[in-house]
Amino acid sequence: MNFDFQYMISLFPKIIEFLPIVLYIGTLSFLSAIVFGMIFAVIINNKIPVLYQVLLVIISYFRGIPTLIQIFIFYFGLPQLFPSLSSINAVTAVIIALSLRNAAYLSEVFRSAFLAVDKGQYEACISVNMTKWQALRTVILPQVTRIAIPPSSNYYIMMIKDTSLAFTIGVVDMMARAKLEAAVTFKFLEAYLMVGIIYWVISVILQFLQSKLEAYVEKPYKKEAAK
Amino acid sequence: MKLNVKISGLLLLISLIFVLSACGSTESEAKSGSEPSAEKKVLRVGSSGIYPPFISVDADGKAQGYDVEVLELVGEALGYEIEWTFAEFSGIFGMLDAGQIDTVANLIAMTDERRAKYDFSTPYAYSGATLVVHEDNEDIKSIEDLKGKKVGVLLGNNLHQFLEKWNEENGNEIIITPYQDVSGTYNEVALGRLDAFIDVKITAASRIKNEGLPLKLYGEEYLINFDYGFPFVRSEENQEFLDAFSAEVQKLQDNGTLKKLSDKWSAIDVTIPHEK
Repeated sequence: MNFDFQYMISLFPKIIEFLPIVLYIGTLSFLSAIVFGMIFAVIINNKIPVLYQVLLVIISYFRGIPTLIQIFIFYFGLPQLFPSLSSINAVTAVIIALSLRNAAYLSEVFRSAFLAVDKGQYEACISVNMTKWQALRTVILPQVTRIAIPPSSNYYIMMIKDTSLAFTIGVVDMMARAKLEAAVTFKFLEAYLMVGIIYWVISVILQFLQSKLEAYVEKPYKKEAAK
Repeated sequence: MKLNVKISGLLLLISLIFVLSACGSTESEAKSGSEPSAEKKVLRVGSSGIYPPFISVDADGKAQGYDVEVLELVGEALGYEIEWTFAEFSGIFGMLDAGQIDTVANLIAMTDERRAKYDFSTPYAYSGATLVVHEDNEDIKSIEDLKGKKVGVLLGNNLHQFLEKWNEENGNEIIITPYQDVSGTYNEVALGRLDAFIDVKITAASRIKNEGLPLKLYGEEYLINFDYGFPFVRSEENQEFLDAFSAEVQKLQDNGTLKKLSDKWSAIDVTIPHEK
């Protein structure tokens, strides 16, 4: 049995030091992915001419090409074609690449969430003299949010783990730090296991927060049941 | 429907602002990033950080190793501070091309392919390739013996190219298995999933010792000789700097400093030039 448990534990503070950069990249990418994803969903749902066709190509690109290659194209490829882009720093590049890619996925989540709310509800709102904005804000969007939360959280957790790709373009994160450590001691299993456990704990915490959020948006439905 | 159009218009506007502000911020970053570096004279060096004893990081995350000390001495003599960037090896040369780093410290072999694209400094180390095999292995005594065997390589490094080329010229019988990084490769040989792994002799010797795996070197001979230098992007403004840089490396070689550093970091003397 060739496993240095002591060493694995000793890596914890060194690796956890890079948790902020992981959360920073993951969270910022996720938030902008939500914004872009919503925009994409609206454009697709309404089939806005020109934008709609362009967007289909963009989405197909982001869904079809592996994340690592997208980061490469974005960080190395674009500056090669447009030298002015070489000033983009690595963290910005990762955030933009991750958010656009995931926006493409999330747009489908939001689109299906919108479709899941029956059109009749909107028509009913209008029939009781609500304005369109009122209908959207008080009736449609709360339901859309409720439907979109579980799959969106999935993407958040995935994005947190995708940040480990950033080391390819020089962002030292938890995974990178573990690799650098293990390179000196050659204890790769210990180092990778430690990172794995940390990522696992993060995702468990996120799942917990997700369930809290779900409970919050479920509230109106629970009251209904109690009556 | 009208409402939706309005909303989407609004959202588009927001997204435009988003994109524009992102552009603005990167521009200002670029300015603040490049100006002081011109004044303070910073040499931006990229590395995988996972190539001991030449380059690795210590417990505080600082660069250490033979390459590091050589660069620091040269930088000191020329009045440059060294700024390190660690990245996956597969991304390092992309960063060099894109101008995000000035050179690479990763025991970079001066192969013909690389010489065609980059300007190298005077060599600061000399070594060659060897094969890492299981300690019970008695079949592999030369590169010929690799035919029909599974051999691991680090994706995209010069040993990979060397082996691919040899394989092509000799009947394509070696099963070459590229790995993204070196983490698990020695275990692969120890577990018998690979028959051999091709690596630089110095690295292989120290890694076998440190990792405590049932491995050995196939023999004493180098499969191929390599000179190692620091690569720079080919340009006129780099040329002057490179000449000064090379002169300093040569000085360190001549006054025995390189030999001292080699003794400090490496089990094998890496400062003996190959016979031509």
